[in-house]
Amino acid sequence: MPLKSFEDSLKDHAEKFSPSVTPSNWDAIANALPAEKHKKRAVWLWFSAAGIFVLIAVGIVSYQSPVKANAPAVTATNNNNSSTPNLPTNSSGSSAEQVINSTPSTTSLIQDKTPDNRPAIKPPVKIAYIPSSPQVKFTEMIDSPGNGSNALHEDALMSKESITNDTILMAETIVSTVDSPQLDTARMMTISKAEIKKNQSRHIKKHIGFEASYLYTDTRIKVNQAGVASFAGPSPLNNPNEQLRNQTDRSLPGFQIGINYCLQRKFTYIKTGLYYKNIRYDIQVYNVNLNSLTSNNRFNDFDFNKSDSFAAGNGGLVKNSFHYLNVPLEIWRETFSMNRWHFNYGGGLNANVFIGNKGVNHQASGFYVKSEKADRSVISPFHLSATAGMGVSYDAGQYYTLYIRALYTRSLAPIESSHVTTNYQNIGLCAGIKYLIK
Amino acid sequence: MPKEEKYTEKEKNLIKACQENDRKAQFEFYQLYSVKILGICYRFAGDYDTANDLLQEAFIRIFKYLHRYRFEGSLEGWLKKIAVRTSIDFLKKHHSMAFVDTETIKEPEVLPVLDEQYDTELIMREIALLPTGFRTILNLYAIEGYSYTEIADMLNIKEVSVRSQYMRAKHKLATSLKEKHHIHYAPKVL
Repeated sequence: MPLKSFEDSLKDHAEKFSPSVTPSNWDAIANALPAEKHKKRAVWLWFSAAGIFVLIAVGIVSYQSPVKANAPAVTATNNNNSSTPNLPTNSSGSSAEQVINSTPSTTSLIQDKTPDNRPAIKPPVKIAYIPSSPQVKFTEMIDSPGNGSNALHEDALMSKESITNDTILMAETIVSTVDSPQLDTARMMTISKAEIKKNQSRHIKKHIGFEASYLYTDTRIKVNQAGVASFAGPSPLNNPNEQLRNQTDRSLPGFQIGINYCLQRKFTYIKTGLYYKNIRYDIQVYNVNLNSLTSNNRFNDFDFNKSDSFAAGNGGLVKNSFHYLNVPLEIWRETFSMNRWHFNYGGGLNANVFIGNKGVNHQASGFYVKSEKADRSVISPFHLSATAGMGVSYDAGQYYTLYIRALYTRSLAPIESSHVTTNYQNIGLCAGIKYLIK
Repeated sequence: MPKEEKYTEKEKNLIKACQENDRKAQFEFYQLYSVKILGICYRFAGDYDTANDLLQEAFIRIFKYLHRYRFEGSLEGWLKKIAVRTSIDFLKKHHSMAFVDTETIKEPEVLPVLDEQYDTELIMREIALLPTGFRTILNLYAIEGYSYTEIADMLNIKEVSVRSQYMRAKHKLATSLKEKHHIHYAPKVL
């Protein structure tokens, strides 16, 4: 049976090839298609409203200071520069193609920004073939010509347009192989928008930031010790020998501040850092021997040794103020961008290391009681919590981004202390600023 | 007169609904053909990001010009032509393509046998890794079936350039498959 030709076998494979289609493609297509007839009127109204909103947003943004362009301008090279690098000759002895200097008439500015918002590279730019490297690199002139500072920038990208077929070679990246030395030929590289995008997609941005959060804590407390009673519970006189267990708690605001470090690729970034976190709540835990109650239901005889607190009307409470060091590991995603504004959502895990409990004791008047700190000792020095949130960010400048987010955090493991076991959840508002390092 | 392709009633209704800008019908049509179109775009673009962009552009053109389709000839062939044309237009806009032959390349003596045992994804990836010019001409000639003359017209280059670049492309692909993936050689089919 005769073998299939190379071309036929390629065709068969091409026919079988089934790549995965990105789900968001259809949205982009549908948005570009003319509106369906019955929706035209509503769409027109929506577009009008969106247009007004965009104009207002552009006006507000434009009113603020413009983006700082701090990259040095690329200056012209000398088109008659004789220091063209020597290009290798191929095996047949014919000279390889020369380095071609672009001219203002044949090159144009890149309209797309590079990932770190460098300004477009202005022509002319010298393109050099580096024999020792399999890749073609671009030489960008820094400062004025002639000052000797030729820096190579791997991501210095340039597009060429309107150059005739006779005057430019299509650049390829050729890796010479032992078997085919005739392919070891110097060519120029023409970078297309696709290549720019490809480079952009590989580029990883690094940020450092500072963040502060206001947290409101809600707790679920389970009392560890037996024999705890509350005077707010059922009348103890009905069950004089019964020892009841109860507690009340009240949530208080806390905070979290710290620094963070982000790695970003395209629209997704991973965040870690170090935060100082404070969670506060009140707790009333009673340990009462019911037999000691008087017939007037007054707490005259407490078992003081075991008592943690007391309550009488608006009497004293024992406050808990837990302090932690928090190391987050979160993934966030930017989406729905408009100009410099972005909508973000994400979440992750936090490792919390207990530092201390700075509880506050109150002494009520009128009662002969002794109060002590609740949660005398926290047995759980470490616990994990999970965070999820969403918010908006604003690119304030070339390197700075401001953001504000709503957060929800929940402890994944109970925090055991000497008297109670606590599970907490926070809702919070977080504000931060991050700075692009690279 | 082109031979009229046989369509089921369901297919005809779907196409007609798409021609009337019915979004649901368009989505269904997209789901039927998006994989094939993406495959074509990926072979020309060389990376998935660009291929997805080209896929979007191709389908926008398809729905824009679908009203011109008169149920003559193969619909799939018509769709493929649009996908190829969209890809070529993109490459011509963003790549300056010209080929200067410094030497002639002969037809490689041996070419790999790419039968079914070899991974399709692997072969497509090696095609995608070819330099842009090689990849374009290989796709147009070997897979899409365009002639040297048609390719020369499409890319605005000389036919002799198309021939020699195709030989180079075939040689480079064969070398890559052999060296990276040990796809063996077989005598050239005559």
